[in-house]
Amino acid sequence: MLTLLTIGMLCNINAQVKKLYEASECLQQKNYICAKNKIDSVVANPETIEEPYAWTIRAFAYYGLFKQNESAKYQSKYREEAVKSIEKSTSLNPTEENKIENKKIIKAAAESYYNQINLYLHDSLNFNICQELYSHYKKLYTQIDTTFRFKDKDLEFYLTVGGVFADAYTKSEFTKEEYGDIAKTCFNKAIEIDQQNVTALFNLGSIYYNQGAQLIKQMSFDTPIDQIEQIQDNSIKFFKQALPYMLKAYELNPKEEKIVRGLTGIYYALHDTDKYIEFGKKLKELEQKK
Amino acid sequence: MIAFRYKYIIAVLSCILIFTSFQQDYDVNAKIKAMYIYNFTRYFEWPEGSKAGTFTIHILGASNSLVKELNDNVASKKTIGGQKVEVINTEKVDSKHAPQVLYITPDQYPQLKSIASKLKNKGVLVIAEKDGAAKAEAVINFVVINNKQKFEFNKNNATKYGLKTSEELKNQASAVY
Repeated sequence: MLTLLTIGMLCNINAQVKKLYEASECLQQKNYICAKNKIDSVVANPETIEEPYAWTIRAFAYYGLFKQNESAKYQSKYREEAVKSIEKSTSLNPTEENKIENKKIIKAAAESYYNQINLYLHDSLNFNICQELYSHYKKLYTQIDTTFRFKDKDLEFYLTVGGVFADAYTKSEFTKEEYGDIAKTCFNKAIEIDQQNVTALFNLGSIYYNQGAQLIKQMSFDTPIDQIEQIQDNSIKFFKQALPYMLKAYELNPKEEKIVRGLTGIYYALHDTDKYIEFGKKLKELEQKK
Repeated sequence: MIAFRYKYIIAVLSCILIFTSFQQDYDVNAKIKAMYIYNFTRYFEWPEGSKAGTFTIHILGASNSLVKELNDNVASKKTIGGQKVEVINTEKVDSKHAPQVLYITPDQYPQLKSIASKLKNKGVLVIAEKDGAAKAEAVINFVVINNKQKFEFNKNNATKYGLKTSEELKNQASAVY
């Protein structure tokens, strides 16, 4: 009886090894459906469920399906399964060679999340999805390089996303407040990372200024006289918020014409005549030097 | 073990590290002044002789943005007391053809002293933008208080130029003389 059982088990193991080999062959031919079907049955079998390499093959099959069918989808089940398979493989004490393969998939998946940011940023201006994608990228990238410092990547992310939303805010002729607010959030994050980032400082100052200016620009001439004062109060709040960022940008780059022009505009809007004249002169000097 | 290859090219986010546009071309202060000027006309009554023909807003001195605001938003879209509105911009006032509203830029303010007497009882709302102007010859004087555009009001000067005024305007002014 025991002999029969042992023979049965060995036959089963051999059958699973054969399927594993076949799944690998399907992968080589980029036939990911074939690879998926075979490897799913291998990892479902009790004899091979604890085989780390089988899970790695499964990850490659699913990742291949993601690339073939869902590369633009931010919530791809195939990619999620690929990542889960690697996590399972890693938990089963894989060989060093197997670990290298696992890292390849994790790296590819991480970078696929990062690359999708461009898509969701430019095509649909979806800030929440961009944040989600970036968070997935960071989580996975940490698995392959625990020492990686994300400071530069974070800065690139926030400056880029902020820039795209600031651009969209400008293109809406400053009417889409929500775009301006997202841009402000991003540039503030960028300043948290790098307090001396002139681009973030200037852009933040500009957005605050533009929001104040827009309140005035969109005022109807039928606005009663007492409300003109209230609207001025609100716009002045924005101009005052813009000032410290623009001043800091100026401190870091006093030769940048746009920054000097920005300061001139803010002082003008705040009716600070002395400063307006002072920066107006500086602006003229810079323009003459061109 | 079979080694699989995956191409992973990380795209650089298409960075927009450009400077955001700055709405400086738009003159916010001119808009506020234009709105005030238009609003003031609701608080005054002009003599009968000024109620016929075109309602003229005369900008004395260079103030292109203010002229543009008034032209774009008042002259082309509104009437005042049922009259069509025109905006003129010169550096001299013809007291024989007095406008209903005369706004004098700070640069041109010295002219006011010489023409004020000629505008007496002509139904002219004289608006200036100079320290002490409301205490002198102006009916309305634009001032800045805490970064904000406000105005002072001289009721006696209004009467001197032949205008009847509403008491309400006093409540809106930062100072009344």
